[in-house]
Amino acid sequence: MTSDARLDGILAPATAPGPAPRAVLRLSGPNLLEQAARFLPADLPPPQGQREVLHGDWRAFPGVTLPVSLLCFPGPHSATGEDVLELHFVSSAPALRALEEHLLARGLRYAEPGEFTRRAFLNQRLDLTQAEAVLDLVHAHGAGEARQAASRLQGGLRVCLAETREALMASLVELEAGLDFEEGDSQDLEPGEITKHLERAEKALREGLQAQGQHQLRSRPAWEILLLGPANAGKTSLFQTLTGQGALISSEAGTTRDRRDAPWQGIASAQADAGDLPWMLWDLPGLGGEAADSRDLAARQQTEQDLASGIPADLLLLVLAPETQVEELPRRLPAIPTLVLWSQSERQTLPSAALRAALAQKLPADRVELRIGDCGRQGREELEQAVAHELSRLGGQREARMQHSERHQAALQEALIAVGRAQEWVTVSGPQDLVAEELRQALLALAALMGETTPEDLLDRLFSSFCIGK
Amino acid sequence: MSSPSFDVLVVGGGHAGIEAAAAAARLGATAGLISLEADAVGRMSCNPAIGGIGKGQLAREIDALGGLMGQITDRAGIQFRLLNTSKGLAVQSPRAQCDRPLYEKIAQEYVASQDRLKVIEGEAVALLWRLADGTVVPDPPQEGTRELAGVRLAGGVDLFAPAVILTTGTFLEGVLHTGLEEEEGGRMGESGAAHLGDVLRSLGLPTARLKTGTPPRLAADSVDYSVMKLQPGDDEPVAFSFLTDALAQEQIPCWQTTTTARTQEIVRENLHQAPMYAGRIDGKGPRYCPSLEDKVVRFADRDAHTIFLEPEGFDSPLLYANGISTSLPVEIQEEFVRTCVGMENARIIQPGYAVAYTHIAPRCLRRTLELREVPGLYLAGQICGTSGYEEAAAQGIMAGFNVALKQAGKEPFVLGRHEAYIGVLIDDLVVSDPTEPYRMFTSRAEHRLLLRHDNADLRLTPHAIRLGSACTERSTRFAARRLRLEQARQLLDTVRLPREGGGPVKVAADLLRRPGGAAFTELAAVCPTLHELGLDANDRRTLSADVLYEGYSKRQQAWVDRGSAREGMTIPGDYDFRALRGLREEAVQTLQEIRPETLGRASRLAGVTPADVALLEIALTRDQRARAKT
Repeated sequence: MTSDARLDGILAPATAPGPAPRAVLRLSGPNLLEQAARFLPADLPPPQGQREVLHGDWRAFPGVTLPVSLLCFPGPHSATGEDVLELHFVSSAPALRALEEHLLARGLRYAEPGEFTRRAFLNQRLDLTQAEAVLDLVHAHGAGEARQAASRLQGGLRVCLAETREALMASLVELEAGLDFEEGDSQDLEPGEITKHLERAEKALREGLQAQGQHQLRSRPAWEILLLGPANAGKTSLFQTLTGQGALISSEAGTTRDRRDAPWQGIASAQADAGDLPWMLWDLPGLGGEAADSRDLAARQQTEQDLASGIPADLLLLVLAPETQVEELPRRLPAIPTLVLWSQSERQTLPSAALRAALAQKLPADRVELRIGDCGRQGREELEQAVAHELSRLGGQREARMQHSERHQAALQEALIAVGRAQEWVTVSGPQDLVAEELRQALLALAALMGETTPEDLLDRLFSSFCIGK
Repeated sequence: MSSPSFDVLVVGGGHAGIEAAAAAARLGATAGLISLEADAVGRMSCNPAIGGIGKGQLAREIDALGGLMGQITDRAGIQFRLLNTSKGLAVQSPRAQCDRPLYEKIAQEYVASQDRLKVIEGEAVALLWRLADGTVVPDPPQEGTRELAGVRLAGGVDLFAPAVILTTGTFLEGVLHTGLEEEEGGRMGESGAAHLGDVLRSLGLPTARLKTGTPPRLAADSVDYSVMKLQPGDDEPVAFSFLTDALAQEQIPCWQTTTTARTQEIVRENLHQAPMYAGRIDGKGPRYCPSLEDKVVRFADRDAHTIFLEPEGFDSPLLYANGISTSLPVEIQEEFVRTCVGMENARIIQPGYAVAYTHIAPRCLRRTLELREVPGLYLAGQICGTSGYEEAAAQGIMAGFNVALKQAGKEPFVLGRHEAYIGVLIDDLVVSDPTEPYRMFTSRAEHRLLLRHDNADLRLTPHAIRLGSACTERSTRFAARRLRLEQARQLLDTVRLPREGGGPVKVAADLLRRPGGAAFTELAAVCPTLHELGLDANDRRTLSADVLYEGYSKRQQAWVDRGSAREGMTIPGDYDFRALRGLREEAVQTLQEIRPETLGRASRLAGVTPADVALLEIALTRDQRARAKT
């Protein structure tokens, strides 16, 4: 029996946090199914090592039982080439945390950045190009340019990370100064601040997890497609045509005040090309021009802000009318594939040279531009094919983006657990080297999102804060 | 006359030099140790102490590898203290004040008694090179084959060896500063190595300047101890060497006092006469060992700084005034010293001074401490940009091992970051470009919970035995200690405690798991047979730490194991990082510049992210598979 073999299993939540019908925790590892008894809660049915779906009830907390489905994918014919196990249950943050902690305590660990991909590649389930595409995005969003990366993160999460890191660093610097210099050698230390720093870190992490949840448009999976454009360029009528949803349309700019979404039933062949996922179309409040009232203004500002902090969507449809003014263009476009739609094609007006030049500055030269007319009824088929084409190219990246959001979630959770353990050690006056170890674990977890905190960073900070050394 | 020839020549007889020469000799190589003065071999040029936080671990690791430092310290120590005892077992470190004259005397005894090791007095002025036609020249040829052949001494004596270890310390183009006066030399009153700097630059090695400083030394009978705080040694002193049973010597105390507001004023008024502030020293000094001038400037709001008065020996008339390192003119030193508490009548016997010296950028080194571009030439100690006796000695012993191993045609000996502080030290050095002298801190070691001073032998002595660096006594003692620990652990894991109510079954080891741990008397009460094992203080420390830190050690070990496959993955020397799509520009530049030998080293470079490493790993794996197929 392999019961003594070391478990090489990794886990990551595969769904966004926050209220949603279900949460999915994805596990991968060699011979994971065979060893499931070692780490799964005892009240769940044991996998038999075949492709199957099992159902059981898990006693998450005293008096609280949750139905859990186990989706078993034995390797090598799984996403990673190893055994993959998915645990599906009602999305609840405490339940997710409890289950993760249960699994972590039994030898599983959180996946590193890009680790599902790496395993898939090493087991020849992905080729290098696919792996590169995934990692490109892991880069671009997370592990990338250390501090600059933080600026690309979503607003609430960015604040949480900065705050958490600051609080962790402050406690760690204080601890390390005490650990690396003997008393009398370190002269400016006022210990006792650590408890406060840790509370601050904990609070920031909890807020970050919440923010992470709120920023998700919905729980996946679906292709998310954004409609964006100046007020009154015709995007709301396009939205109505494509989704069949009624909306208040008027020629008064700024009619669309709130974001709305609805399924877009593309032609069947187009949907199949794009991997058979449903398409969700989002209508965002218009940009530019005069705001009709304060509420309208607030809606526009919100849109600009969302664009700046990065909206988790797959594709952007930029709707422009030939008479759109340069200053009506969005100040910043999200860095996702973009199609330009010229509306009101029936009017045969051509956009100004200035507008074309401004557009060329914001979008790549090989951008796709389409003409649509009659509120989207003319040119619809070409549009849907172009969308399907773009989406099919995004296959690998979409996977990556999901990983990216999983990683945020996992990193924050891991940091939170480590901070909790540090607090326990402080409470019982445990050894300071172990408190420091937990804080390092927490910082290490955040490193995946913000870049590494090196010992040198720590020492820099230590020497600039304290008069230390003989 | 035939010139003497050796397997290795070591230039410099400081802490790096003696460990290097002795280590090579223990492994069977013949070693020549070149020192400007034979009497200065093993000299403590700065503070008369060994160990301290982080450094104590290094010193015990050197001992566990069969080195000299621990044994010398145990015999020359005048005061022993275990630091950080209240802060956790993993960050405790031993420190010893030493008798300065006795330390070098004992060091010289060890050097003299080592077989195959010869001390040669002289100044190395050039390296010798053998050309393709067999002739030997003192200047490195810029083209064609050049093979390191030895060292030329001032006066024209040539010594031959295929390998040379440079451990020049502060002597490489050393300049001493006291006030605005400058003098060439490596230590007060001793001349420096002025010529070697040009030799190294002509080899294309990048050099830079660093500085360090020392405080004044005072007459021991000129201060008023009654107003100072007594700092005694430990009642149960901890030895450095795993060969030492007990420290029998009587210990003498150190004293703690402070500067006053007036001291700061005097320093501030005279900053224009301090070489650092007057622009006379270009090298950068360490932040962790700031001069009094630095302290006064950077922490202007403080009105007192601590001074430790450390006796220089059992019978020494000198006190080392630790904490007020300075390079102000002598008369200013006289003035400010007398404003310190209890030092109103203090006499300065030797003034403080700063020394600026040349070092080689350590990124030119392999992890064996051999220069990548100059086969056979090794560096160790301050010449690599480090500070401290322990850091120097650690590099010395590793360079000595590797020279001998290379000549015997054996695998190099390199320690990992998870195995030893020595591993952390060298691993940090070879990817760095120090802007201040590198000093060890426990916070530099990500696996510090595994790297305790008490278990240095368990981590490293098996290596020493395998390499042939451990004497019979060390091997025997080690085997006995390992057996004691295994038996004790088995006992603690199997003896059950009386059950409390319906609680879970607990064993004796669980007593050690509580925060704070159990006293061994408590353990003895539940395990009556424990005392039969004859556990000593260090065994008890190891057992307690092993049990208390078990969960954390396992986690760190798992981390290490997981990384080790990737860690060791080799990156071909000519790998074109630019060709790898998806690697960020910053990462490409860093990788092209540093050219890490392994994926593990790549992962520790500043500017290389985890995702870069994942991508690189994927590409390397692909290349390996492609090669395997053809």
